[in-house]
Amino acid sequence: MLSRVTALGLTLAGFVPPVLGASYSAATNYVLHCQGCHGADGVSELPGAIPPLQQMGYFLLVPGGRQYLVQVPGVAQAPIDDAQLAALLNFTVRRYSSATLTKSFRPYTPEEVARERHGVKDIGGARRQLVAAISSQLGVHAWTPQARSPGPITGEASALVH
Amino acid sequence: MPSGLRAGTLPEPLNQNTKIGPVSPHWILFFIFEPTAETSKYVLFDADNAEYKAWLTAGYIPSMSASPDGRQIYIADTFLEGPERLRKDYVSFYDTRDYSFIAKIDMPRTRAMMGSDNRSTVIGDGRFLLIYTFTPASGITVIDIAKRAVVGSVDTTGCSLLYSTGHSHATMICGDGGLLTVVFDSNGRVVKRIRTKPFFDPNTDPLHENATVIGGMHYFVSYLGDVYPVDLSGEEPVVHGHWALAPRAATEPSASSDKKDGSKGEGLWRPGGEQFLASHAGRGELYVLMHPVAMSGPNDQKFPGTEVWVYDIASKARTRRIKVDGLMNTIIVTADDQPLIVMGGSDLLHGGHEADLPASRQAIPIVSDIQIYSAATGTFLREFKEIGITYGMRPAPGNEVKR
Amino acid sequence: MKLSPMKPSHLLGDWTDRMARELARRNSRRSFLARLGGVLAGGVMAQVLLPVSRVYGQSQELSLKETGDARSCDYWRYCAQGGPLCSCCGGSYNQCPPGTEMSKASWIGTCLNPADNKHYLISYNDCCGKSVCLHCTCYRFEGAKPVYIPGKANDVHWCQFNDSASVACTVAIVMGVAD
Repeated sequence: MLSRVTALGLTLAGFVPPVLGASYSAATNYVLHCQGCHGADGVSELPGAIPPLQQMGYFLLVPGGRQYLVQVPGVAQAPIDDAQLAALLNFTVRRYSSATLTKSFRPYTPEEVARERHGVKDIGGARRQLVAAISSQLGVHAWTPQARSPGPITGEASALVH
Repeated sequence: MPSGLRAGTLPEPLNQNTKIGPVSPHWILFFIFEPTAETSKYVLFDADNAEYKAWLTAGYIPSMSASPDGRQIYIADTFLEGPERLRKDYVSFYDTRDYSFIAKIDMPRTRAMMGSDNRSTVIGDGRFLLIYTFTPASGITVIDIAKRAVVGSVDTTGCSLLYSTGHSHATMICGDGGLLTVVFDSNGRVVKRIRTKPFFDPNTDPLHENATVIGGMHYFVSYLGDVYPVDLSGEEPVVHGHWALAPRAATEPSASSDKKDGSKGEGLWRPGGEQFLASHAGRGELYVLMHPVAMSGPNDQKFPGTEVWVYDIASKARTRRIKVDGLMNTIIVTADDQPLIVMGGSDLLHGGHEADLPASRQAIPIVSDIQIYSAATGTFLREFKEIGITYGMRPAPGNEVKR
Repeated sequence: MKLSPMKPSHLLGDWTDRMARELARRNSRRSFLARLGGVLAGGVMAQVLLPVSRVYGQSQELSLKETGDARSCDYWRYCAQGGPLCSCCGGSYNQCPPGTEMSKASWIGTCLNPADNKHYLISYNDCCGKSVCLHCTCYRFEGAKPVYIPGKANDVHWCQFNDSASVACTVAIVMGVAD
């Protein structure tokens, strides 16, 4: 009885879910934190609602785009440390968006990820601005979500407080 | 001639429209899930007499709010239509005088379908209905209630669910452990967003989705049993620290099941269930469904309660323990000055927990019995058998506590 | 700046599905199940697809030892199963029942396989299009988070993005070794 209870106690006190405690490869982290929606191939089964990862590289080519990719909540909130997240970003960009990468591509570093991932913004507004920049600077019509809600996107005032 | 009859009057008029009559604070609105039919009911239940008063039929994984004056119910809903079971979304409007359907609006198929409450809320003192959407980006759709029309939508990627005090703003929980408050103007347009820094760790000890509310103060509870009081009455959320419902580590003296002196401690206990948290403003008390971790094993956030633990909010001290008969997964305390504790549950367990339970312990969704206790004395009063599969309840509309 | 068109990215997915079906067809069902080493109580499930790793860089053919009853909630794959088992409803732990369609999104967690002490990536897709089959329902939450972390929540109805949002049951598909 004692040993079972003690074992339970140790398990509970030291319980760290495998996802959090482990340091997984970027390939495994992609499956864990991205694949459920973005798919094995970076192309989801909801192309009207989920952006294709093949276009990540475009964002790297316009001002503010590098930070945006880190701040997308699915990226920023991934339960992995800065080093794993940098590795995951680089893996994902290289695997799915290699055709858009130029010689000037600078891989993400843990320090850059640490700096940017907690800088919360109005992501929807940021994406709209970046898509406009990609259009005007690169001549590319980047993906935008299919409008599924009637009515306008309600106007946003200034930047987020905090 | 029997009294009450007049010549020429039929004693039993036909085609009457039965009205509910005045709503008692001891009337509860239960959410009842009918999984194989893909429908739901909202059942108006009289806890004093343990009987049905009325019900609404709703659809699949709905989300319900009421007007501040209690006169209308709004349900953000989904029906699966035709042989292909195609998803169709609506907002439906109901009259609480007789629980009749008033109107519906067609909606895009964007509302979030999840096993949690808090997916819609009324703000603007009754003017706007907010619906949490999930596409799977998250957002809010804003509906003008009087016009019965969508006025806009908001992108809130990274934050989910809706908590409000009914005034100009609503708050969402974000995946980084902070909150987002969205402030609306009198036209239902966003004028401000306020994002707090993280105040809980979503990886090691996330907050449960359900909260109990006194005034503007929302009491959240974490998986490991810490209470986080968050004041949402102003535009900026104010977090009032956190305190523990029970010892969190088996090494703490009162928790250890086998103490050094050979006596038995009470072991680790944690909150769990569906709607497992209730409160009473007048008594200043929290009521929490708690279970022993020795029974549930780890990963026990949905494990139902074997006891109600009562806390004095001001002193953060547990004052009472009320043993329950069976396993309760929902609880509410009525807001009046003769409060009832109303709980839903069963004596069956729902499907396979890690502790020493038979491997074959699987169960279809549990049909709940309702148990009613006196909050003041903790004594059992009455029960109602097999109301249905219930995951939550609220005071009947018409009993809204002024916020 | 003109950029080359994207390589069609669905081919990899098609290839692994075809490979899995080919492998399954080449092996007789009995020998396949014998290799699984599983103890299946109450008869044999509907055809189980051969586990295939979908983790980039891992060998696709996944040699996966499994033991236990795939109709019991204590089966290792169901460590975060929050719903009815397709294996009791004409499907299997990695296949939807006939006439249902897999959800277009899911959440992915990990479970520890006691047969080889490795953590495997498990995708908990819902099967959609028919009203629920409730013969065996499990309610386990290892690694599962509240719904405001939807990528780790088993309380999300993952059929909501399909044309039919009816949830029939939930599968637990091994996606590869977590390494």
